[in-house]
Amino acid sequence: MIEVSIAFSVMTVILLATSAVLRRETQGITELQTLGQSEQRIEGAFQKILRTIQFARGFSPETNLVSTLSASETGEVLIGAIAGFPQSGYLVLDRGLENEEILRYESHAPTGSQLWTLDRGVEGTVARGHSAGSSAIWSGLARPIENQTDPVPSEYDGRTDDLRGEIYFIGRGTGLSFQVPVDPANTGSYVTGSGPRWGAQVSGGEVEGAYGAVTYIASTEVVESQRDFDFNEDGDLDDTFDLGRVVLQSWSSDPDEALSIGMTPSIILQEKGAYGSDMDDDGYQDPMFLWSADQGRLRLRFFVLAGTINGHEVVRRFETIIHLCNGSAE
Amino acid sequence: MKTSPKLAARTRGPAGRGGFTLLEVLITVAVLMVGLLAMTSTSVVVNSLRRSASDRSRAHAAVQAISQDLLSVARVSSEDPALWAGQILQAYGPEGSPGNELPITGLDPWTGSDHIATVTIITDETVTDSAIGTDIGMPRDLDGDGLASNSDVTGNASLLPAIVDVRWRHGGGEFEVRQVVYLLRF
Repeated sequence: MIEVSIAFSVMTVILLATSAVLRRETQGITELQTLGQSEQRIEGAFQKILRTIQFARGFSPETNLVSTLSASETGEVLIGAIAGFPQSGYLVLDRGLENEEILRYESHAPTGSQLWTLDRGVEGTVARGHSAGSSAIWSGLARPIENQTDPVPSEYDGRTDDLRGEIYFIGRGTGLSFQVPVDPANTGSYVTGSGPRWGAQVSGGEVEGAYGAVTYIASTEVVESQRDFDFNEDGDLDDTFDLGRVVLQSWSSDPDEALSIGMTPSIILQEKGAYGSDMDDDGYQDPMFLWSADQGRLRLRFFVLAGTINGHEVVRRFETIIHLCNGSAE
Repeated sequence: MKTSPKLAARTRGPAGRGGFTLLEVLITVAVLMVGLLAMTSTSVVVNSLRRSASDRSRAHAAVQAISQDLLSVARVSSEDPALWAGQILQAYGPEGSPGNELPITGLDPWTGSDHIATVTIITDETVTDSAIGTDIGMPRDLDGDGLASNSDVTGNASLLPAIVDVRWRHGGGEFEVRQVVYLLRF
C-alpha cells in the first residue's frame, strides 16, 4: 500500500510538472510566433510602402499664411498653397519664433487653400496671433536642415543617427505626402506632353490632381507605469506612448473619394506629445519618416511593440530607406 | 531458482495484487524526464529558427536600404560626368563616409570580420564576372564610349554597377545576401 502511494505520488508530481512545462512551452512558442509575425508584418509593410511610392514624387508641405490669424480663431486658416497638406493634420506656425504654435486642423477645403476646424495651441504650445506671411509647415514632415555643421539649437528639432552619419532635422516625422503617375482614362500612358500625369489612387480609381500620404495614426495609449515596462529604455517608468499604425490616405477635390488603407497593424510606438523623440535612449531622435527632398530619399524607422517573451514586453526597431525615383515635387 | 516467500510478497503484493517496483518507478521517471527535457528544448529550437528567420529578414532589409541609399546618392551627385562617380565614391567608396564597410545593428559579423555590409562599386570596365564573383555581364562599357577597355571610369562614368553584400553569422553558420544595383547618371 505504501509503495503504491509513493508511486502514485511520484507519478502525480511528474504529471503536474509535465503539464506545467507543456503550458510554459506552449506559451513560449506562441510568444515567439507572435514576435515573428510582428517582424514579418513590418517587413511586409516596408515592401508595401516601397511599392506604393517608389515612382512617386514627394512633397514638403511648407507655405505661408495668406491673412492674419488671431489667437482665438478656430474656424479656418487660409494658407498660400495646399499641395501635399493631408486632409487632417498638424500645422506649425512661425516655427522657431517666440509665437511658435502648433494647431490641429480637421479638414481642408476641397478646392482652395483653407484648413478648417482648428484646435489651437496643441502639443504643449499656446494659441497666439500670427500675421500674414507667417510660415506654415505640415508638422508631419521631418526634413534635414541645410546647415548640418554645428547648427544652433533653435535651427533644428532633433538630431538623428543615420546610415550616412548624423542628420539635424526639423519636424515630427509622422508621414510623407506624394503624388504618383496616373492614367485615369486608361490611355496606356502615364505621360502627357508636359511630363507625367500626377495624381493618386482614390476610392473612385486613379484621379489626376489627387494626393496620397503615408501617415502615422495613433490608436491607443500605453503607459509605462501601468505596463511596468520602460519602453524607451530611459531608465524610468514615467512616459506615455501612443500605439498606432501607418495608413495610406488619399484624397481629391471630391471629399467622397477619400481613401484610407491600413499599411501596418497598430503596433508602432511614439512618445505621446513628443513624436520623433529618442525611442531607444541612444541620444538620437527617431522620426518615423525623414524626407530628404533633394535626394528623393525617405528613411523609415519604426519602433514596434512586437510582443512579449516570458511576460516581458519586446520593442524592436525596424528601419529602411526608400528612393523615390521621381524625387521631389519642388 | 526459487523466489523466497518474503520477496514474492514484496514484489507482487499480498494476494497476488500488482504494484510498482522501485526499478519500474525509476525507469518511468527517467523516460518522463527525457520527454520533459525534449519538450524544454522545443522552445530553444523554435527560438533559434525564429532568430534565424529574423536575421535573414534583417539582412535583406539592410541590403535593400543600402541599395536604395546608393540610388539616392547617385541622384544627388553632380550631373557633370567628371564629378558624378567621384561623389558617389565620396559616400560609398573605401575612403568615403559612411564608407564601403558598414555595421548593421542586430547582426553578428563573420568570424574575423568587423563589419556586416560591404559595398563594392565597379569602376573598372575590364574586370570580369569571375573576378568579382557575380554574374553582372562584366567586362562592359561603363563610360558610354562603346568600348570596355577603361580600367578606371571614375572621371567619366555613365553607369556604375554596385554590389551590396551582407554577411552575418548565426548558430555556427555563416550566411550571405548579395544584390547588385545599377547607378545611372542622368
